[in-house]
Parts: sequence; C-alpha cells; structure tokens
Amino acid sequence: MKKYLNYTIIIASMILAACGGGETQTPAATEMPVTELPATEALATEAPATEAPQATEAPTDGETAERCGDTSQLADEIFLYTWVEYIDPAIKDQFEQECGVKVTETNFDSNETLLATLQAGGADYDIVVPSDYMVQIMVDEGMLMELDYDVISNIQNMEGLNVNQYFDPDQKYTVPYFWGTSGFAVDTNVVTDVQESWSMMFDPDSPYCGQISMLDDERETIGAALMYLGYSINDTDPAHLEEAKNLLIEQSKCVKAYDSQTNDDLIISGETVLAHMWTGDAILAGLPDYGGREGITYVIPQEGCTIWQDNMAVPVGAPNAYTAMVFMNYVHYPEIAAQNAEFVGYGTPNAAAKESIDPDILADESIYPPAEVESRLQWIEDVGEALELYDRIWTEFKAAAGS
Amino acid sequence: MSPQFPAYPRQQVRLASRIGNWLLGTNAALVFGFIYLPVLVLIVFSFNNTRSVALFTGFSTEWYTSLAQNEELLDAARNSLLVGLVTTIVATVIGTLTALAMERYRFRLRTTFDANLYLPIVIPEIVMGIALLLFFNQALFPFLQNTVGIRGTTGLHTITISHIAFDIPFVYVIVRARLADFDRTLEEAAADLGADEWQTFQRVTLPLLMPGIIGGALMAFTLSLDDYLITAFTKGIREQTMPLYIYSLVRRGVTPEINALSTALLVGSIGLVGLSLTAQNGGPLYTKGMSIGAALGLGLFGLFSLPALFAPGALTVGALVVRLILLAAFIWIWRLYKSFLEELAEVNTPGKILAWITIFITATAAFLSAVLLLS
Amino acid sequence: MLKFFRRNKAFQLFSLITPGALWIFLFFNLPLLIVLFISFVERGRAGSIKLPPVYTIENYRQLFNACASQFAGPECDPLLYIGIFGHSVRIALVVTLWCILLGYPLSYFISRQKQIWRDALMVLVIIPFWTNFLVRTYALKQVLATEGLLNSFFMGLHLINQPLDLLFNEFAVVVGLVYGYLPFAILPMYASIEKFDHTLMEAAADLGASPRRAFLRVMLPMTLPGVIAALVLVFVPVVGAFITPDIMGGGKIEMIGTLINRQFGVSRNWPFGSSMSLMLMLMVLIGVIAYFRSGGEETRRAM
Repeated sequence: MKKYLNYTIIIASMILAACGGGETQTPAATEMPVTELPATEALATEAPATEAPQATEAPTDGETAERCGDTSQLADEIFLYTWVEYIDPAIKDQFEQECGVKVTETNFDSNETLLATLQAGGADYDIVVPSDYMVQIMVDEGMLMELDYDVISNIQNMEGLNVNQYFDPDQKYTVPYFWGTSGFAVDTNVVTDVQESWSMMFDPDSPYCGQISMLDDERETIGAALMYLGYSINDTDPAHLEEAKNLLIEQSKCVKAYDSQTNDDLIISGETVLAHMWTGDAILAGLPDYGGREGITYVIPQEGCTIWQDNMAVPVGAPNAYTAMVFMNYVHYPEIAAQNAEFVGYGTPNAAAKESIDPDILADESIYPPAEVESRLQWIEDVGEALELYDRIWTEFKAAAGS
Repeated sequence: MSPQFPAYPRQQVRLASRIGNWLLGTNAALVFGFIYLPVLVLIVFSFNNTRSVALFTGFSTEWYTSLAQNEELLDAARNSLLVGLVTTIVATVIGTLTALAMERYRFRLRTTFDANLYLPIVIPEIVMGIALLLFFNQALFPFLQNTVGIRGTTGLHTITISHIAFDIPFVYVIVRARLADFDRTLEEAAADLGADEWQTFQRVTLPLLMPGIIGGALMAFTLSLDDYLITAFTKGIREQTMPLYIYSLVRRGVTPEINALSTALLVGSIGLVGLSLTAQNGGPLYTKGMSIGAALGLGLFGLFSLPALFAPGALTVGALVVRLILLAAFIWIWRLYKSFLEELAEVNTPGKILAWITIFITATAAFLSAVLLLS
Repeated sequence: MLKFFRRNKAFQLFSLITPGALWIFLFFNLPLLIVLFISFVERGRAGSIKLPPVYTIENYRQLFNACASQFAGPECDPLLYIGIFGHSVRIALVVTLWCILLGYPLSYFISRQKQIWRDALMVLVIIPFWTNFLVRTYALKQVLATEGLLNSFFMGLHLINQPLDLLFNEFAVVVGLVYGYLPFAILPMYASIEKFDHTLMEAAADLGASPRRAFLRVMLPMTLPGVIAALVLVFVPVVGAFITPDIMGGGKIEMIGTLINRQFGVSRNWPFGSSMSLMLMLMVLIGVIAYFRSGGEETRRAM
C-alpha cells in the first residue's frame, strides 16, 4: 500500500504544480488513496463489516446449502474480472439461485491489462484470473490476498501437476482454473512424416517452407527457438538469445505469418500446414463439428513445450473476499467443474471432475497429455530485468524479418 | 468578358466534363465496392454453421440464436450504443463551439491551443488509456475524496468522459475545415436585415455549418463505438462495452456471433437511416408516421414487459422507470395520431398505404430493438 | 445580460472556448503530464514504474541510439527504433495519399448529387464502419487471402494462373489501413467540397482556363482546408496504427504503434513506451503544424 501512497503524492503534486501552484490544497490532502480499503486483512474469514447478512432463497437441504459456505457472511454481489467466455454463464446463474449471490463479470484481453488495472487501484474486483507468470508478479508485488483453504476445500480435488508450482509454491494465493500447452498443429493430410520435434518448424530446408505460421508472442516464439536450440525457455544469456534471434530471422523466410489470433483459420483453410499454437485453438482446428478439419493434429515436441495455467485469485482490498472464496470453491465441485470444462474446452486441473467428463475428451492427449510428456513441459517464468533483453531481441528480429 | 481572356472552347469543356463524370462515377463505384466487399463477407460468415470466420461450411442461423441468448454481449452492445450516443452529442457540441472560437477570434496562445487540440489525435490510444487510468484512480478520485468527500469510481461515466476527450479534436478538425474561408458576407447581410447575433447564428451560420457538424458527429460516433484500448483502462467493475468483449475474445477465437451482432447493427442502422431519409423526402406525413411507429413499438414493449417486472424479487427501480417511460411513449402517440389522420386524408391511396407501411416497419423495428437491447 | 453577451467579444470567446479547453485540459493534458513523468523514470520490475522513482533520461537516449542499452547485442543497429519510426511514416504517407486520391473524387461525386442522395451516400460511406473493427479486418483478410474472393475471381476469369500473394505483406497493410481510414478522409473533404460553388468552374472556363487549370487554380485551393484536415486525420493516427499492421502484415511489418503497444503489454516497459509515444507525438505534431501553416497561408493567398 505504501507505494500507492508514493505514487499518489508524486502525481498529485505534479498536477498541482501544473495548475500553477496557486491552489492552497497541499499534496498531503490526497494522502489516502481510495485503494486503501478496510479489507486489508489477509484472511477474510470474517466478512467485512459492510456486508450485511443476507436472507437468501437458498434451498435448505444440507447438500446444496453447504456449497454456499456460511450464508450469513455472503455479500449480494461479487465482481469477477476474467478472460471472455471463460465461465459457463449457467454456473453463474446457478450460483445466484443457490446462494443468492450475483456474479458480475467484466473481461480483459491480457494479463498486462489486468496488472495495470489492479496496480492503479480503485477498481475493486473480488476475483481475478491471472496466468502463471502474472501470479508470480502479483504475489511479489503483494497484490494477492492469502486464501483460506478451509473455505476452498475443493483444492483437494486438484491434480498434482497443477498445484504448488513455481508461481505459488506453497499454494497460498491461488486456485488453479484451466491449463494447457503450446506446441504446434500439423495438417497430416499434407505432412506425412510428422516428427515430435521443433525441427519441423525450424528446418531451413523444410519442404513446407512458406506454409508455416508462428505465434506472434515475444516469449512464446523466442521460447520455441530456445527450446529447439536446447536451452531453457527462461534463458537470459544474451548469447543464447542472440542465437535464437538469428534462428528466427533465418526461419522467417519460410513463415507465412506470425499470428496468434487467426492461426487456426490459416491451417484449417490450408494456407499453412504447420502452426505454432495454443492447445485450445489446435483442438478446435481438428474438430469438423467446430469448424475444424479432419487430420489436423497437435504435437508436443520432444525438446519441450510451454505449459500455461490460469488461476483464480483474490486481490488485496477485495470488498467481498469471503464470498469470492465461496464462489471459487463452488466452481470446483466435481460436477460443476466438469460442466465448466465442457463449456470452456480447455483442460481442467480438477481430478475429481474427470469422472463426469466425456471419456472422448479425456482421452484427447492434446488436452490431457500422457504422464510421460509432463516432464517436457516448461513454464514461462517472469525473467525480471531481462524482459528488456527479450523485447530488444524481438524488435530486432521483427525489423529484420520485415525487410 | 475582356478580350485577353478568350473563353476555353465549349466543346472541349463538355468533352472533358463527360470524361470527368465517367471517371468520377467509376471511382465512386470502385470505392463503394472496396468499402462494401468485406462487409458482404462479414455478413455471409454470420450465417456460417460452424464457429469459423474463415471457412464457410454451410448455412445456418444458429449464431443469431446464440447472440439473442448471450446476455453479456448484448449488455455490452447496449452500453456501447449508450456511450456512443452521449459522447457524440457532447463532443459534437463542444467541438463545434471550439472550432467557432478558434476561427472567429484572435487571442494570445491561440497557436499553442490549436496545437494542443491536435495532440489527442496523435497520442497512441494505449498511452492515453494508461494515462487516464492513472489519472482517475491516483489523482482525480483521491482529490475528490479529500476535497468534497465523494468516493469516485470508474464506470460507464469515466468511459464516456474519456471518449468525449478524444472525440472533441476530431469534430473540431472537421468543423474547422468547413468554417475555413466561410463567407462572412452572408452573416453581415443577415445583420443588415436586422437579425441579431443569435438569429444570425441560428438561421445562417448553423445551417451552413451543418455538413461539417454532421460529418464530425458521424466520426465521433464511429470512433466511440469502436474504441477498445481507452475503454479497457477506464471501465469500471460493473459494465463493459462491445469492443472490450470482442477483443477479449481474441484469445479464444472470434466466432460468427460477432458477425451476427455486426450484421444486426448494420441492418438496423441502414434501415433507420433509409427510413428517415425516405420520410424527410416524403414530407411531414411520413415523419409523423415514423414517430408514431417508433413510439408504438417502444410502448408495446413497455406494456408487455410490465407484468414480468412485478414478479417477486425482480422489481428494480431503474427497470421500472425505463418501462414507464416506454409506456409514456405509447400514450404520447395519441396526440400524434390525430394530426397524422388529418394529413392522411389529404393524400392518395398509394400514399396512404405507404404511410401505414412506414408505421408498421418502424414499430416492428422499435419493438425488436427494445427486446434485443433492454430485456 | 443578453446585451452584454452580444456586445462583449471577450465574453463570447470565453463562453465558446471554455468547455473545450477545460475538457481537454482536465482529461487530456493532466493525464499527459503523468505520461511525461513516467517517461523520465526507470521501469519497475512488475510493470509501471520503479518506486520510489529513479529519474533517468535513458528512455530517450535509447530511442535515438539503440546501442546505448546494456542489453545491446554485438551487431546492434543504433537506428533500430528510428528506422521503425521512418518505416511507419513512409507507410502512413502512402496510405494518406491513397485515401485522398480515392476520397477526393468520391466526395466531389457525392457533392454533385441531389440533396437526398448526398445524405444517403454519405451515410452509406460511414455505416460499414459501425461494424466491429476486428471482424471487419478479418473479412478484408478473406477478400485478400490466397483462396480469397479476389484471387478466386481473377483465377475464374483466367486473368492469372497462380494466386497472387496479396496478404501478409506491406501491400496488405496499406490496403487494410486505407480501408480503415478512408472515412476519416472523406468526411472532412466532403464537408469542404460540398460548399464549393460549381459555377466558379464555369466562370473559370469562360475566362479561358482549361478544366485542369480551373481545378488546380480554383477548386483545389478553395477546398484545400478539407484536404488538409483529411491529411491530418489520416496521417496522424496511421503513424501510430497497430492492430491492422499486425493482422494484415502477418506480424512481419513492425510499425511504431506495434512497438509502443508491446511496451505497455508483454514487455511491461511503460517508461520506454511513454518516451516513444511522446517523441512520436512531438515529431508528428511539428510536421503537421508546419504543413498546416504553409497550407493555411496558401489558401489565404489563393483567395
């Protein structure tokens, strides 16, 4: 909180200075930023005083009432800030009916937008859904509240792979939500000699030159090159990154587009046959019912492949922390988590939910990779200062690729 | 005509103007083709039977059905229209006033102020978005809190304020281009004829400025409706706009649902504009017909949705007020209806039929948009 | 009171200019000061800025000499960012030129129709832009794709045997930007051309001017304010454009807007992004003002 204070004083004094200093208002008058809310307690087992006990229309039978936690502590409404279409609206309706809490949702398009909004303060979200590396940053910055896992008892349902990861080693701040990987998709109608290797993408003499698409993402794309070269995806050695850059520049003459948005359309329409891709897109690209095409499969390369995970968390200062945790627990009841996973289409970290999920989906190795693949997966971690190096490498590569 | 300026040969002028007209027509056709070709593609894909916006696999209207059920997207669309309309009105008025001031008066720092007005056009949107995010939350709200004790929050109002801020310069530039080398003699003539300044402004200046003002307003609306980055940083926890929804969708892949929404907006706006133009051209009878139709549609909606409002637990003041206003629209038509009937008596049979059709179409359109946007 | 208003020029000016001046000052200039401040401090590890702030001019120095950074590689090009800026200006100039070349005759064509058609056509120009930008750009992509509308059409007519590479290059970026900004050119030019008195062209012909000469000496100077407004409204935002170059250029065409957006996105370097934006604003502003002034002078002289 201290730093917000600093920030406020700087900016306020600048503004006052800009006004000509004629104002009598001293900078100190703005000392209390609005982000400083009563709810700074780390463990909000007690509902904040502002939340009036609410008579709900929740059914009284034991099983469902239990899913609402202590109903006397619930708020009327909680505010969820998440990726778009990332929760089945039916679940929100169901929660409202069962527990009497309205879930109001707005959306962001990137982790950085989420970070900036929370850093600025003022917007009091109860639940946010950052990805792995962003959790690490937010925890370091003290932006996330420690959770009460007595309330979120469904944390027990999680797979081992999805908890206690580097960004939350003691599992204190987050609840895993969905996860996936990013390897590449192959159109097997054209490409017959599929190898589980990045060399398919980076081979300069590839017969599929000009029919390749790569993600347009600084960390993912440089990361793919690093993995092909045998380095870690979080490597910060300038020489290794230089090598990766040269590899990418060399590859660029064979790349049709760097595209993270419509790369699935490109492979479906046959303009590309090899596409660096996030799992979700790759899965749909292979399903004719969802506008995909038969024969498009997803590959997790031998050299390694990124794994990502989105997590629910409660920002410090959230007005309705208790209710937020009740909701986080609610979405991880096995049936509900299964329903949500079918709506979203990504892999759920909830092991107990898998009993209720369509076996065909469970058998899909691109969503739920087999155990031996797990060792190949690498998390994209925040590289700190070296992010500037990544940006530099990426800009140089883009400038070279475009000319 | 003085002899040292022999007129340019008539025949050549005529030939040149014929060629010129042909070229102009071709250019117009090409430009409209260029503008509308992608729009056609967009419409076609709204009828796709899979979730692809790149590969057309078959006809279906499923995306319209799913759009009608997508509360969040419709809410966002409604917010966008609301923000767009308010922004357009405020920005157009302020931009026009500013243009008048800058063109008509000389004052110190005029050039600096002029340059300052161009800055919001130049600034990359994301920078303005971040700047406003920090400004509202770290400077303005704490300031308000400490001076007047109001706790400010972000929401549709901060989005609108920000949109107005970046729209003013666009309106300003267009209106000012219209004002440049404005024929002041017309205003002087009006003054000579005894009009006071306000009358001159109202009767002479404003009508002459209108194309510029309308151009500015169209631009302001377009920009506000499509703005994403500034909105993303000035939104509150409750509401968002259509572009926010759509850009957030990018990670999951945009579906034809967005095409369906775009198509609906497109058809709606073309219909409205077409009707209002026809009405303007047809005279007061059709204008009245349209007003009646609109009021009828909205009123019917208000009437039908009233009982549902009184269902236990569903009663909110805001929704009730909206419905009551709509109902008032319904009652208001009686007044219009009488004068409409008087004028209807004076036209021939096809005119009568057309007038009734106008009412019917507008009423249906108004009813449907109310259902889509308000329920 | 009313009399006072009528008589007092200063008061008139005050009431006309206050709303705009105040709004822009409050919701643009003040936030801009924050950006100015950010551009002179060090980046925070998490994003935004390091607190307490450490003042530095590194962000500007790197902009002009990319090798000044500790992260500069062995073969670094000191003009890395300046080069991207130059490239963006070049693309923006081409786009502006096309917008004016296509938009001016169209505005003229529309201004010569009957009143009712004029209104209808103007609205038809703008309505497609009320659909969402993203889906509109995707649709344009479908038109230009390898198996898209244009290629299928030309192949069908046997005008070409091989599909043309229309997408994912600079051409596609220019097409996409012209498409996106054409109404920005048409609206001001139309507002200006609409008031042009066409009998002046006949008068010029009567006085012996060829149509070309009449256009260049009479019509163009009189409608120049509209053209300049179009130039400003297209050129200025296009220099900083970022979504269109990414989508249409297949991520291969780096423009200054793409670069700036990344600083506020994945690269989380607000100070560098801020300094880049401020330099962009400064340079574009100087260019525009210079042009606008000379243009304005010419207009007045032509009268």
